[in-house]
Amino acid sequence: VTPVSVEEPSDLALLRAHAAGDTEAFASLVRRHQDRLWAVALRTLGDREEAADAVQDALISAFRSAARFRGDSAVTTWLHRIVVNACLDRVRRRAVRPTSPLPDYDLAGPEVDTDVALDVHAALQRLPSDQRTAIVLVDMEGFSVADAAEIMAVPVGTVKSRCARGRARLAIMLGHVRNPDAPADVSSETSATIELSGREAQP
Amino acid sequence: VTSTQPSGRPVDLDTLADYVEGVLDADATAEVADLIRDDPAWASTYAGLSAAQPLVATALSSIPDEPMPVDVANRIDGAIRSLDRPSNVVPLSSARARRDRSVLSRGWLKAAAALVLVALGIGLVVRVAGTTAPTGSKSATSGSAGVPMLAPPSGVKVTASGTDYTKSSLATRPGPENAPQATAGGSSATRRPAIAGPGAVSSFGPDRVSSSLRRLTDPDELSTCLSAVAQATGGTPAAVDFALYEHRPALIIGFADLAFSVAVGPSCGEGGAGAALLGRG
Repeated sequence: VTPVSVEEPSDLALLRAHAAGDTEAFASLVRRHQDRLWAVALRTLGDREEAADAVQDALISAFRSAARFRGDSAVTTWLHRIVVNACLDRVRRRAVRPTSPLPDYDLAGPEVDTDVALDVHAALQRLPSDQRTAIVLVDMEGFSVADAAEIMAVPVGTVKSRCARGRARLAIMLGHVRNPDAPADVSSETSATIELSGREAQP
Repeated sequence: VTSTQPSGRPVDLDTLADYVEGVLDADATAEVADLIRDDPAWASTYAGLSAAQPLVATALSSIPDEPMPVDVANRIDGAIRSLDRPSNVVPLSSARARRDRSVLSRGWLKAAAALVLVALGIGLVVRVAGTTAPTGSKSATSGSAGVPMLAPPSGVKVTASGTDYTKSSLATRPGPENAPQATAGGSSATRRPAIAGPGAVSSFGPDRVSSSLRRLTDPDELSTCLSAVAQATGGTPAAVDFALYEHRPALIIGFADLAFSVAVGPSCGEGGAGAALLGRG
């Protein structure tokens, strides 16, 4: 007996089926991508409860707007864009909430002058959210720069710049690069102050 | 012996990072190249950054993938299954506009929540006085405006304010006047709610109930949900409000004997979902 080959429906087919009224299609689509969506949310937000809420909010939005999906991008890119937006919404709300501010990261601050390198998780959470998101998508989740740019709705050059700047900060926080302003270098003639321009390359 | 001299220009890590990545324009690239050649601080930081690239990549890749926890997956699956079809729901743009308005009016949320809770208290007082309509059927009855109304679990006041609650607004106790001391169902502040019998309604507006919460307008479903909430919190539900929590549909539950309220999701009490707690004060 020749085994019957059952072809899995594509993401687009599931989304179309959902829009057409298939009650199981969207749940199937979610199961297919939930682990990766979760990883992006968890690493972007650094908090399990917030990540769970963000993914749920995002998937409910996706559920409701599925009929308007035009197919300009891959379904998984579209889903990740909605999740990333939900995460960044939460980051922005958290930033203006006085009881739980985002930790500021100042390269000239005392915390980076210590000899103790930060844990990767902690260092990641100290990055500005736009740099953290770019690094999560490109360096940790393996998206191409072009796909990450589409997810973040920014130019490709901006994603490259955010990744590069984030990696540079991580290099210092993880102890791979000495901060020229650190005490050990004070007596050195190479002592200098690192400045962060805050400008982004947007080619 | 080195011929390099400090340029006097502080090292700009972002610019150096962009230089390493090759995203600067030609003029900026030439300027940074000059700084790296002439200024020891720029040169050493550049060398460090270049050498650190693979180390950072290794550090990032060392973080193992973590699948979505089962409880989170179940919660999200329940939330999705409780939704209506796409054609019946609010457009995303409208939801965003509502969210934006909500953010703008965040400062008023506490006051709004307090007003709702006061209203709940007034409703309970009215019910205690015996002026509310008794209903004993699971099926919907009609209000004065011809709108279907819920026959809620006895001893529990039901409203549908549509208020967007936050974690801080849940921290407000419904008020001692809300304690169901002499309700139709006979529950007291120290007893679990008698949620199977007839109840009372004074301000339930079905038009303000999110489609995802409609299941909970069924008295049996609401009873099951409240039992799960009582089990999860140890409190006695005294008032429920079909509303929002952090911009998403939620049932807000006040207690007769707890100093805070909780928010539960549309899957509350459904198929082993438990209370589906979204937040508590």
